[in-house]
Amino acid sequence: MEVGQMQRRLVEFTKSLFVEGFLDGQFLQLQQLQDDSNPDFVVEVVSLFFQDSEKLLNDLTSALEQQDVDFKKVDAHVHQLKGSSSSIGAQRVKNACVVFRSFCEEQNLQECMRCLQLVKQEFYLAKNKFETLFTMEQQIVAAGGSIPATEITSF
Amino acid sequence: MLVFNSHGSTRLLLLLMISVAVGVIAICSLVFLIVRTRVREMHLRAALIKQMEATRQAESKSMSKSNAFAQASHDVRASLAGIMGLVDISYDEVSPGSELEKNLKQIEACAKDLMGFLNCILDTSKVEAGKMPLEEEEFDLAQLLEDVVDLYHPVAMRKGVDVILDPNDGTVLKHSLVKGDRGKLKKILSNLLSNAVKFTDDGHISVRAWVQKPSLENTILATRGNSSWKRMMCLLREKNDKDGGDEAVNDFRQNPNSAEFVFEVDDTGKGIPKEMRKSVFENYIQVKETARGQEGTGLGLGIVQSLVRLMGGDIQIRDKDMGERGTCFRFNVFLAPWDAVATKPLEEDPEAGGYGAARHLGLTIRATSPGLSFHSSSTRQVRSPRPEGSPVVLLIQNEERRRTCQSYMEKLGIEVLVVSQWQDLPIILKKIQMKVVNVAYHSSSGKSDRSWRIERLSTSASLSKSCSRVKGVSLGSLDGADHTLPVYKSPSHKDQSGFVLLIIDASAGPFQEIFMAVAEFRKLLPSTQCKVVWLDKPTMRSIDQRAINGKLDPDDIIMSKPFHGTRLLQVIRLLPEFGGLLQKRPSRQLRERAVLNAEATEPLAEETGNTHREKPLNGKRALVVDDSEIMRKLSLCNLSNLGATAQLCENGKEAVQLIREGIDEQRERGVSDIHRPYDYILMDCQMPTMDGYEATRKIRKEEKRYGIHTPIIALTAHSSGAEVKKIFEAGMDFHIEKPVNGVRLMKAISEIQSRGGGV
Repeated sequence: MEVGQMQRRLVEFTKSLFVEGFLDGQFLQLQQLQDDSNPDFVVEVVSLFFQDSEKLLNDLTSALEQQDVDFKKVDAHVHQLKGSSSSIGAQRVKNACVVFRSFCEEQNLQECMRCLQLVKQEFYLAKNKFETLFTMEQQIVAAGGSIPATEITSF
Repeated sequence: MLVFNSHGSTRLLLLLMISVAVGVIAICSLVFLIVRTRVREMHLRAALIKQMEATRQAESKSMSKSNAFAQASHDVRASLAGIMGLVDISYDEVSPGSELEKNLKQIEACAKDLMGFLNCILDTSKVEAGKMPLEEEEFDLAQLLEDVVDLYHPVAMRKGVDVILDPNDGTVLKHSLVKGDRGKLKKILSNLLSNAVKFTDDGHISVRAWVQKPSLENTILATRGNSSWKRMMCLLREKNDKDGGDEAVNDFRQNPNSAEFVFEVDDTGKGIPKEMRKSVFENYIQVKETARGQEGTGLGLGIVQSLVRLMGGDIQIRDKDMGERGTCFRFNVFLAPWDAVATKPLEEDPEAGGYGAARHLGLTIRATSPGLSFHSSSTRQVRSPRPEGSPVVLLIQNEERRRTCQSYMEKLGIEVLVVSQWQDLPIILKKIQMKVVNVAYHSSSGKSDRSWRIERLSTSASLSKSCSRVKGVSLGSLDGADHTLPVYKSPSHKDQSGFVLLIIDASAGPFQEIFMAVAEFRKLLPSTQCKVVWLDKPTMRSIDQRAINGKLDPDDIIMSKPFHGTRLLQVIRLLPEFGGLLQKRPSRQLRERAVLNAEATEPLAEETGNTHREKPLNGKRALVVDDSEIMRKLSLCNLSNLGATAQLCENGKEAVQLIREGIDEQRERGVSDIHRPYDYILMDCQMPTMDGYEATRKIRKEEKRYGIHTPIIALTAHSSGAEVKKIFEAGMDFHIEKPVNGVRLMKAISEIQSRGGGV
């Protein structure tokens, strides 16, 4: 595939991510922060997010499996996850966290477990999408092209 | 007496009369003959003139035909370009994946085909008219080969045919930088490859090339060609189009600098029957029986032959070994080396540094004699694989690719263990394991005792959770495509910790099982560095990240197929003997560590391009307080973008400490007028140990003592009324909604400044 085609595919894919709600405006901000002095910023931040969040999800899973569930602790974890997902623009993950938190406040264990599953699902989906995105970018760069900037038209 | 006299005179007279008559007859017949030949000559001359006239007319007709054709083709080309351009534009308007997009793609493909046919026909006519000048440009031959092979690889793979670039003996790599007509060479290769792809339904297509010193016989023939003998032969024979090329041929072969490059395109397809071998090169001939549903103008091979001859070589179909099917085209061209200094003839030892930029310091494959064909590997001098060298395990599905990789690596002296089926992988790994343990045991204890420590090691197949979770890095970070040869370095004694390289085709078997086998192998040899290169299809990944929970080792590399050319060289260079580094941690993690370590008490000197543009926060120092690493990183980046330097810390307690230290340090220096240690503080509200509110309160207390006030900006998730109240009550000046971005930051700061809080 030649560079122009790859770039087109990338733009289409990125647009679809916005349309489908995987990404929001914050991601654009991240992209804008990336420049020559910080060439891998987006990849780094996103990788950091996935690293941290995996741990959080594990902690959440074990916290909800306890005999006496400490909802405050669970809420704290979800809060953190919500914060970090919103900071990279992973909208769907963030929204799932919001729902999760409301059930934490109600201390509804059943619903919390369901929410955890939902969050995990969204998380892995997002991870997949990001990986595809980065792979495409790398292919373009490897072929000698440059990454086209995402234009902010109406979604 | 009178009678006697008259008798004699009559006889004389009679004689005279006879001779005169004879003479007259002779003269008459001579005249007759002359007249006849004259007449004939005139007839012939007239006929000749007529013929010449006819030829001239025919030539001019053909010339005008070609001109008209060229003219028309310009227009056809323009229209085609118009169509393709419009299709291109339309892509942007169409919704991806729709029926319309599919149709557009097909239109584009048809237009491209049309262009191809047109060019084909044009080329033929150009070559025939002798109007195909040979261009000369400098280019990298190895790169060209790889590009062409990679170009046809996806199309062939769709049919299930692998296209392999066979490194052969590596001579092309050595003399890769050449001067010649790149475009024509590419056309020749493309033509041959597209034919091979068309006519092969399974198996493989190999492309290989090597360099030969033009043998003595060739040069003798060439010099002989210059003689008048050939000229005479030309007059008698029909004129053929070889004539124009002959001079070129002589030029090439006599140029002492140029080398003979031989190329082969070898496929396992339908083959060409012996009777048709000569005629396939004639224009418009297609091997009809095998051209089932194949389109084409039938011009391809004719053009190929003309082009090859134009470049001073020739093309032929080689006989394959018994029992092997398919066709093997072999052609040669003459190319001059590209190097300002390289005026040395080919006879010199190539290792002394003749051609181009290729490094010859290392291990290269020596040919036994220059004029020999390098095709069969049995006659070649091979370096025996060194026992201390790092072993390479090769698990590649395609047999031919496996063979070519193995033979090339072995020629470089690398020990290769071939795994033909994925089920054999654990067995081979065990073999290496035993060998490595042996070596380690040798070097550590010096005994030749064969007691292995394997019993101690666990054989559980489960992956421990402590495996680092960073995903495998794609191969963007290694060197760009340079075809310099891998340089062999003997492993120093320090590197005795061992290195094993696994090259594994991710689609060679069920990925999960292969991955587990590798992971197990890794665990059993903790001191050996095991680097794995996973070969994966770029379009349909076999590596399911979710199935293995993304637990690829950070040092692992995922490489896109096809595996040959520069990628093969890059992987070889991973070996310590060829310059690979025995590092344990990739540099990526190191960088992240550096950011984390910013929590030390020394302020982070994160100077950004202050000298470049005027940044709004130039020279300002900020303190970022947030428990989330991501937030810290984000804030840091935002601040540096705006020209500020930032100090990061994890919670309120650290923040207070930093403020205190900042003040103390000024006091120690004897500063009379203490100013605030930071220009701004970005404070997250929710943090463990000490949250933002309490930290602010403490900081304000501290500041009161010295009459300073640092603007503190709260980072909150919500901005409800109650929350905002809390913020201001604690003593913070402003709040920003998370997540942080440059716009929000600047808004807050300018607000603060307008209020007169900042300087």
